[in-house]
Order: sequence, then structure tokens, then C-alpha cells
Amino acid sequence: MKVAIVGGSGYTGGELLRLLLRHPKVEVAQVTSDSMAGKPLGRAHPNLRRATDLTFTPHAELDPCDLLFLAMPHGRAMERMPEILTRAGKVIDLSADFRLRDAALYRTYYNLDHPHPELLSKSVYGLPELHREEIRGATLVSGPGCIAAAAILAVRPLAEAGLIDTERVVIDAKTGSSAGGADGGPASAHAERSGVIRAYAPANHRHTAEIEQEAGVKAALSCHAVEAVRGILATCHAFLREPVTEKDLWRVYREAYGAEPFVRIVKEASGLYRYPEPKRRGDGRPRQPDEGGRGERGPVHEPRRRVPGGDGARVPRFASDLR
Amino acid sequence: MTECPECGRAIEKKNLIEGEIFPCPDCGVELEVTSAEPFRVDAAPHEEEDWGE
Repeated sequence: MKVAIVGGSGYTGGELLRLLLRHPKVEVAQVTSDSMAGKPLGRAHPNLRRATDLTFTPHAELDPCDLLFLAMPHGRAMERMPEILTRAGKVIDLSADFRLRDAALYRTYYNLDHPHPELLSKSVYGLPELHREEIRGATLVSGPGCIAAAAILAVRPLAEAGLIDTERVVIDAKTGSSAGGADGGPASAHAERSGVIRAYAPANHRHTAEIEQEAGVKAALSCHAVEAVRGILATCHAFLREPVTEKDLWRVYREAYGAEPFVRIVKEASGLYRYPEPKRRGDGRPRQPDEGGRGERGPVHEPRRRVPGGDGARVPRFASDLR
Repeated sequence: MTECPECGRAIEKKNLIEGEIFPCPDCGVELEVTSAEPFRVDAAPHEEEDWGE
């Protein structure tokens, strides 16, 4: 399968390349970046030096391909999507531009009017644990938000099982600096983040809309920047409708994720490490040389699911790792 | 086949013998084989302090 990436010089593009370059069924044919045009990929992603001979090409020179990834900042793909869809058999947009089904929410959470609301119903929210079959058949897939993915995977099984009050779920998320992207602004600078725990979105975070849409709950989300590069820890508080046992909760999460390759349910009965920890690798593997140049611990987390930009983990006590 | 009393994980007998203590693969709680035939497990008793010694 011939794959191209538009906007491949940022963090999401770099993480995507790290995975795709070793994918046995993928040929990365082209990676575009206007600011890095003509330069080797390793100039933007030093962990990929000598892993590929590809150089960045300008956006305007994008060729047709089988699968096109868009790794651009929010708002860039909205206007051009009808034209972009003619360039490839399938498009996966990693931005938020087509995540929400209700166009009005783009005004609320992104302060803009969506120029192509007719495409929102055609876009599939790209969490395979929720929409695997729809993703297979879709021509437009929207990559989930990092914090949203963490929270949705934790909360949705409980909501679907009817165990919790879906009108009030409280989510407290801590995130590393890579979630802000390569151009995260002054607040992402090391001098501003080092040694700091900062509430940067105590309410009305954009991912609230995704969580409510996909988990089927009313959510109060608070987000905090902590001194980490990678990883997200989302602690989700839900209120039970009726008393349940710990075994009941295990059953619900096993039914939801028991066969999922990227989710692990973590809750130990004893020891220091009883709950999910984004900073821990969790699978006992030694770090591989291509696992990223940002963050001394590599990109794997526990619970783990790779979410470009956030590489985030998630889940509350019983949660599953979105790996 | 039985299940962990803590998390409900299915536990196979394999080569476990009566009295053997092992951790549940999912929740990590220590389990004791209380009967080999029929196969039964229960949460292993915790060591308690003995102030009398």
C-alpha cells in the first residue's frame, strides 16, 4: 500500500513515520512539508536518521496514493478536504477537523464555523476499539484526540454497561509536553514547564466534545501540564447507579478489551506499581533505537495506545491501556 | 478450571498442587490452591505480625 503524509515534520508526523517505515504492508512514498522541503526526514526527526532516504517534498507536489495521512494543525484540512479526498482512496486526518459529528460544536470548542459539515457524517472516529469495522470501510477517518482517547476507553464500557450515572463523569488528565505539538508555543518551552504542574484547561477543554460524543456521557474535564514529555494519565471519576463489586468491573473491562491488542487492563493487588503509569514501559522490552528521540523513556506507556502528539495513556484504576 | 475470587479471571489447574501459592495473572492477588480435586483457589492468607514471639 502506497502511503503519503501531509505535514510530516511535526510530532504526529514523526511518530507516524516511525511506525509506518517498519510496517510490512506499507510503502511510505511521500512526506510533505513546505518548511522542510528538500531536506531529509532525519533533519526534523533525528531518530529516523538512516532509517530512510526520503526527503520532504512541498505540499503542492503531492502525488496520488492509496492512503493519505494528514498531520497538520487543527483547521488546515477543513477547507481543502473535498479536494484532498480526490488524491487518495482513503484519508486519515490526525487533526480535530472531522472528529465531531455536530458542526455546531466547532463554534463552541474551536471558535470557527465548519466549512464542510456535510462531510462530518462521513468521517469515522478513528478509535479501533470502538469503530474497527467502520474504519475498514471508511474513506475519511479522523484520528482521536490524545486525552479524549484515554478518557473514552476508560469510561465508555462503564456507560454502556449501565453501571454509572452518564450525566456526571469527572475526568482529571495530566499530560506531557509533546501533546502541544512541535509548535506548542511559549507555554511548551522547557523553561516554562520544567518543575511545574499547571492547570492549563480546568474546564471547557476541546476534547470534552469528543469524550461526550464517543463515551455517551456528560463530562467535566480538567487538564494539567506536568513535567513529562510523553504520556497522559486520565483519572476518571464516575458515580455508580448501584453498588458493584471489583469483579463486576473486571468483567466489564474484559468484555470490552479482552481481545484488544492495544489495551491492557492494569490493576495489581499489591506492590508499588498497582495502577497504570504512563512513564513505565510495562512490557519489559528494552528500548528500541527507533522508538523516538523525545523523552528519555521512549514512547511506550502503560496503559498504552499510541496517540500521535500525546502518545497517551489513560485510564483510571481499571483502565485499560490504550496501546 | 476455576476463577480468581478477586477479579474473576479464569484460572487453569495446570500443574498446581494443593497448598501452592501463586499470583493471579490479571490482578496479582496471591491465590492459594485450597483443593486440587476438585480444583479450587482462594485468596492466600496474609502474614500477620505475631507480637507474642
